[in-house]
Amino acid sequence: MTPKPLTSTRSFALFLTVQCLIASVCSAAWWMSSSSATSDFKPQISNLKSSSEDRSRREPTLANVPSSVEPRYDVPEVVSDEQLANVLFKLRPRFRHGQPKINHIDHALRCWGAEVSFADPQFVSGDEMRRLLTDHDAFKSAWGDKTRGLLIAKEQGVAYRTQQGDASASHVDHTLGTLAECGTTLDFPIRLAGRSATLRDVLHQALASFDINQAEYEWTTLAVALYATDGRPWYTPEGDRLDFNRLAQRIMRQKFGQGVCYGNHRLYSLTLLLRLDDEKHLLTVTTRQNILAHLTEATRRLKENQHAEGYWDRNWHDLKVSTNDEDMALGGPLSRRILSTGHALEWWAMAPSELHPPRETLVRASQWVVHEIERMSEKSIADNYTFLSHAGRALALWRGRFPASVSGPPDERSTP
Amino acid sequence: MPVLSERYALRGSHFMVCLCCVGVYLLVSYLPLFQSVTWHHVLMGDWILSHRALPQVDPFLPLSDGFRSVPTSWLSDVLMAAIWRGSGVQGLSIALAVVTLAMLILTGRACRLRSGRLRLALLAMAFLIAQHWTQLSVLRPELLGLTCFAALLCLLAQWPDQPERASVRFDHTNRDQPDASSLLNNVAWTPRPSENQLETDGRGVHPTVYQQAVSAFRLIGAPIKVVGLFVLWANLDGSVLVGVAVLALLALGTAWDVALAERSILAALRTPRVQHAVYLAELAGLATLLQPLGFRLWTDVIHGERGSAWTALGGASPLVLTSGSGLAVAAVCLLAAVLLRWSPRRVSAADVLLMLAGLLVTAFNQQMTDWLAPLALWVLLPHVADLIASRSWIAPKCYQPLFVEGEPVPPLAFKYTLLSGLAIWTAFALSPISNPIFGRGPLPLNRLVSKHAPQALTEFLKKSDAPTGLVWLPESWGDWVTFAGPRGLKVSANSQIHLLSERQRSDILQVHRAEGNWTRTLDRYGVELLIIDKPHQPRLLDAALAQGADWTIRHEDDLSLVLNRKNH
Repeated sequence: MTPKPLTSTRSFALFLTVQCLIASVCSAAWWMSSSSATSDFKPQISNLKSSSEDRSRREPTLANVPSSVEPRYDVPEVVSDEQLANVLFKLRPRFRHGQPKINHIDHALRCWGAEVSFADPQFVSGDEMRRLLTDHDAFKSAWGDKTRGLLIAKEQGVAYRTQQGDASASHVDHTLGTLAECGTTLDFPIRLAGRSATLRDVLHQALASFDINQAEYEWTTLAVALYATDGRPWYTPEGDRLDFNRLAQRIMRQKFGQGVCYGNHRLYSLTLLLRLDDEKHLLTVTTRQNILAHLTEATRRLKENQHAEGYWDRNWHDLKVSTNDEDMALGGPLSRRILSTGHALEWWAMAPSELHPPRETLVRASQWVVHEIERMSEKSIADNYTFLSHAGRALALWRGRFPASVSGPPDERSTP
Repeated sequence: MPVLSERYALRGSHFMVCLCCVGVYLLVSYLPLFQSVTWHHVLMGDWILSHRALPQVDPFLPLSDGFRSVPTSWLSDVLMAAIWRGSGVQGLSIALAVVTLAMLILTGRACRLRSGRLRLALLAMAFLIAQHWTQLSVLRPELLGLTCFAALLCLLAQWPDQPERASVRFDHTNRDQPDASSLLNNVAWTPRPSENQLETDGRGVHPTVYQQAVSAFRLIGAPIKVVGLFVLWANLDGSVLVGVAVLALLALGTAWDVALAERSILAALRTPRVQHAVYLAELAGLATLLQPLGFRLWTDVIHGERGSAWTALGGASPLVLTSGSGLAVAAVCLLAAVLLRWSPRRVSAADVLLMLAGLLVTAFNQQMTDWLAPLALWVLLPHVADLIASRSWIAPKCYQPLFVEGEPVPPLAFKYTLLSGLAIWTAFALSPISNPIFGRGPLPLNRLVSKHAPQALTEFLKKSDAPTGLVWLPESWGDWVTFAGPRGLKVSANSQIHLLSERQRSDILQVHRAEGNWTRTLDRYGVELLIIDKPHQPRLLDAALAQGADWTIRHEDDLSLVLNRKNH
C-alpha cells in the first residue's frame, strides 16, 4: 500500500491547536449552559423586567418564617363582641375522641392557630392539633396502628395523604397552607414513621409535583406565596416556568363557582396574593389589576345574588344555576349556605376595602351566619365543622383579630 | 449553422428521469395541503414578520405559556408566511411542489454521483418517493432541511479526490474499462471528481488534467459551499444537526480507516484527508451557530428542552416495524445485509458508522426515517453499482458520445432533449404555477386544502362572535382553526402538543376518550367552546350530546360539532 502523505509538523501543530481551541470553547459553552442555565425567556402573561433567569431554580426563594397576613378591619356591626364570643365558643375543637377527621383538625388548626389552648381538657390545643398533622406518633396514637400514615415519604420530600378518607387531608396542600397560615417555620420538624424531615420537605414535594393545571392549586399557591421572599420565577421539573402571575392567571381562568368549595378558595388565594404583593411585590401591575377586576366582579355577583335572609348558596355567582345538590356529602342546604357565606365573609375580611360590598350586604350575611350557628346543635356543628371554621374565622377577622385572641366566656379558654 | 453541444443531447434514461420529476411535480401540485403543521409555520412566520422578533413561547398555544419554545425554523416560517402573504394558499401549494421537486432532484443527483449510474439514481428516487409518500402533501421546514441535506450529499459526492486517485487512468473509449465508481472505490466516502470531469474530456481524464482540476480554488471553494449551505440550513430548520452529525461521522470514519491502515492514530491525524474531514465537520458545526439561537440550538437538544430541534424532528417516538417507516427501515436493513455479503467494494468505517447511527436514531424517533432513507441510499448505492459491475449483470456503463463536435449531427440526436423539454413545458402549463400566465385564477380553497381540514367550522367561527375563553379541539385541527378562524383564537392543542405538560396531554386524552369527569376537566381549563371531530371522536360525540343544558350545540356539519359551555 502506498504510504499516505503526511502534513508538515507545522500543519499538524496548527491542527492540534485548532482542536484544543474548539474543545475549550465547546466545554466553556457547555459548562455555562448547564451550570448557570440562564435564559431570557419571558412568557406572554408575565411582563417581568428581568432578562436573565436561573432555569435550574426548582422553587422560589423561601423565607424560613412565613408572612403573616393580619386582619385590617374592626366592624362591630358585622358581629358584636358577644356574638363573636358565643360563636367561637361553639366552634371550639372538640376532637379529643379517637380517630378525629383530619380535615376537621386541619380546619380547626387554621381557624384557631397553633398557639391556642383551652381550659376545658376536652378541647384540643393548637399545639396538639399541629402535632397530629406533623408527627406520625401523634397521628398513630389518635388513629391506631392499622391506619395508613398521614405523612408519606416521597422521592422529592414528604407529602400528605389526600382525599383518601377521614384519615387524610381533604384538599391538595390544604394542610401545608394551614401550617403556613399558622406561622409554622420551614425548619419545623416533621416526624414520619422511621425518619424525620422538616416542613421544607413538604413544601419541596408540593412544588416538585405541582402542575399548573392540576385540579386543586389554590392552597399550594397560598403556601408558596406565604413563604416566598419575592416574585422571581421558578421551574417545575418538566421545565414549566412558574411565577405568581401565572398562578394568579390560572386561578382566574376558571369560571366563578367552579372549583373546590364553589370556587371560594380561589377568591381567598387571590385576596392573599394581593395582600402579600403589597409587602413582597409578587405580581406585575397588569396581574394585580386583573385580580382586582376579577374580585370586583365576584363582589358584584355576590351583592346581586344575596338571598333576602342574607346568605348565599352554591349559585352565589349566578342564580340561574340550580342549587340541587350534586354532592350530598356537603350535607344539605344549610351546609351549602354556611359554606358559601362563610367563605365570602372570610376573603372580604382580608381584601382591600375597595373590593368590599356595601356594609348592608356584609351585615346581613354575617348576622345570618351568627344566628344560624347560635341555633345549631352540637351534632350539626360537628357535621359542618369545616365550613363553620371558615365562618368563625371570618367573623373574628372582621373584628380585627384571629379567633385565638378573641376573649371567650370566663374560664373557657386561655390564650398565651 | 450553430449546433448545440453534444452534452445537451440527452439519452433515454435522462428522459425517464425527467418524466419522473415532472410526474412528481404535477402530483404534488394538485395534492391538497395537509390540514396541520403547515399552518402553524405560516402563522409563526407571520408573527415573526409582524413583531420583527422571535417569540419565546408558542404564541398560538396558550396552554404552553410556561415552556420556552423559540422556533428553530424561523427562516422557513418567514418564507412560508411571505409566500402566503403574496400568493395565498395557492402559493404555498406551489412552494410545496417546487421544494419537493428540488429535494428529489438533488437526492437523485447525489445518488447518480455516488453510483455513477443514472438508472440506479432513478430507482433511488422512486424509493424516496415511496418512503415519503404519506408526507407529500405536508409543507414543513423539514422539507427544506431535507433539500439542504440532499445538497450536502451532492457536495460530498463531488468532493475533490485524494492525490493517489489521480494515478488511475480512465479511458472511456475502452469498453472493457470498469466504470468510474469501481475505479474510485478504495475509500467509500471519499468525494470524487464530478461526472463532467470524467466524461467531458473526449480523450479521457489523465492524471495531470485531474490534478489541475483539484485546484486551490476547489479546495477552498468546497468548504465555502459547505459553510454557506450550513448557515442557510441552520436558519431554515433545526435538522441542520443531522448534517453536522453526518460530517462528524464521516471524519471519524475516515480517521478510523486511515488509523487501521497506518496502524497509528497519530499518523491518521497527520493525514491531510483526515484533517480536512475534521476541519469540514468543525466548520459546519460553527456555521450552525450563525442563527438566532446560537449555541442554544445544541444545548437545548442536550438538555431535552421541549422546544428543541430534536423535538421538532419528532422527539422520542420509537419506530414501529409494522408502520410505513418501519417497512422502509426494514428494506434498508435487508439491502445493507445483502450488500455486506456480496459487495466487492470495501466497507469503510464511515459506511458502518453512518448506517449504525442512522438506524439507532431512527429506532428512537421514527420520523428520522426521512433522513435515514437518503443517507442509506448515499452509502449503499456505490456498493450496488459495484455489485452490478462485478457480476456483469448489466454491461459496464461507458460513455459514448452521440456525435463528435464539428462532424455532421445524426438525425434525432436531440430527440430526448426535445421530449424532455416538451414534458417540462407540459408540466408547467398544466400546473397551477402557470395560472397567472394563462389567465387562470387560483384553485378554490377546498381543492387546495385537505378535505380533513374543517373548513365549514372555520367559516362558522369567523361569522360568530369570537370566543374569549379556551377552545377545546382535536390537536390535528388546532393549526388550521387558528390559521383560518378568527384572529386571536385560543386553542387547547395543535401540532406543537409536545410543548404541553404531561398532565395537559393526559387531560387531552381523557377528554378525547370522554373518560371520567371530562366536563370538569374542561371547566378546569376555562373552556368556552368544545369542538368535536365527529368521525374520529365518536365517544366524545355521544358523551357531549348526552350532556344537559350546560352545553348547547352552536354548529354542526359533516365533520364537526361545536358546543358552547353555558356561561355562568
